[in-house]
Amino acid sequence: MESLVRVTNPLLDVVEILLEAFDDGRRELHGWAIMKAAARSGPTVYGVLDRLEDCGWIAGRWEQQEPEHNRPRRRLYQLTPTGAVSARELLASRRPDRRPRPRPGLTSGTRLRPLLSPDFP
Amino acid sequence: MSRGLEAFAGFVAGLFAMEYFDITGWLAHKLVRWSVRLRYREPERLAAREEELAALINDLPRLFRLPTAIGFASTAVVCSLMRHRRARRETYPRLSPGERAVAALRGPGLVLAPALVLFGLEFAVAASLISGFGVSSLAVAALAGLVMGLAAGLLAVVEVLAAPRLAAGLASGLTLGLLITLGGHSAAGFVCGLCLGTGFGLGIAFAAGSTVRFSSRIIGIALPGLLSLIFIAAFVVLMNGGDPLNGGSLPKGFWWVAGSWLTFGSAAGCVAGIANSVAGSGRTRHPRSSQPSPFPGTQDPITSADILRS
Repeated sequence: MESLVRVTNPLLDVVEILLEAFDDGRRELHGWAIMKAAARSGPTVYGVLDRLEDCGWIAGRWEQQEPEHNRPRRRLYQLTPTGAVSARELLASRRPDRRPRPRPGLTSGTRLRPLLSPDFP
Repeated sequence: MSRGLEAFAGFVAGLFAMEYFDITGWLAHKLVRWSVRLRYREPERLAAREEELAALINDLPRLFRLPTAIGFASTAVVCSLMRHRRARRETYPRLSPGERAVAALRGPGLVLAPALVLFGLEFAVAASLISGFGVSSLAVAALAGLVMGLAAGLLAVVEVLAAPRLAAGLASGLTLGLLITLGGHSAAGFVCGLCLGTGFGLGIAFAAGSTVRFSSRIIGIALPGLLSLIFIAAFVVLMNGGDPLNGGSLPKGFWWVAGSWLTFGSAAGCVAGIANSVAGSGRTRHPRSSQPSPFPGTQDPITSADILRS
């Protein structure tokens, strides 16, 4: 397992999305969902996923689909328990004042939910 | 346009619009598969990404499929080039300044130094043509051709072992060297040989100093473009202005300016190539990677400006 060599903004975005999904009932996300939520391009997101996989921060599995579905399978990603701990430390270190950024039309409900809470300034 | 033609054009346009997404979808799948094979080397990851990205293309809205696939392909090309570059760098250890100079002379400098000699000869010829120094153009051109041919031969012996793709320089170098030599027998041929030789020198300077564009924005982008323009302008002037030996339609001062631009522009390209090779040959890793990072095992993000600086 390699160490995380470079920390870039796209990496932080993807880690943030994956951590939100992890905290939200350990949801698994496929590439397109991550691209939409992070508002990043495909090559960027998959470059980050490659690095996170090399570091052992995330684990991927193929989606289960019916045999009659004649289409390529999606790969679903989730933070590993150790990856989640490291991701939390990384985000606390790099984005201590992070707050959910609304991206209408490009994000899932989980990122908007904190905006609706009464504690939000 | 008649009504019949309008109807036909509308039919064709509608057909094209209908087929467009099918074609782009097919093309996107092909592009993504190619880019995965270019980008990944590990068999397991390659197979996984091939299927995964095919699924991703299916998930995307139809309008975005081809642009996304082009994005994957261009990233794969960049990754492949960077991997190739990294592999080349890793074959050389970190060098001292003295060793760098030797490495530079052994590498691109080996090609560029004779090119500089050639450009000096060009300058001498240009001077003799314009001011009547009395230098025989035939002798100088023959000497230039000899230098070029020897340089190409030397390149083939030493450089090909380290960089087989430069073997192409052998054939072109010898051919152009011969052209220059033969060009000495006639004024028009001499002008052609002069221009071709300069173009060859510039091409070598750019190819051998391919890392020039990483040195800085000025050297990397502006200079090669400027030199190309100078070369093209000089070529056009020389070819359209007539035969300088037998007296063209333009004044002698014009040839002087054109020849000087050509020579100094080419020489500047060579100097840039040599300077780049000296500066870049000893670096084996990114300079910022040695900086401490507040987060263990990480370093600061590398920006595009850093890449251009490196």
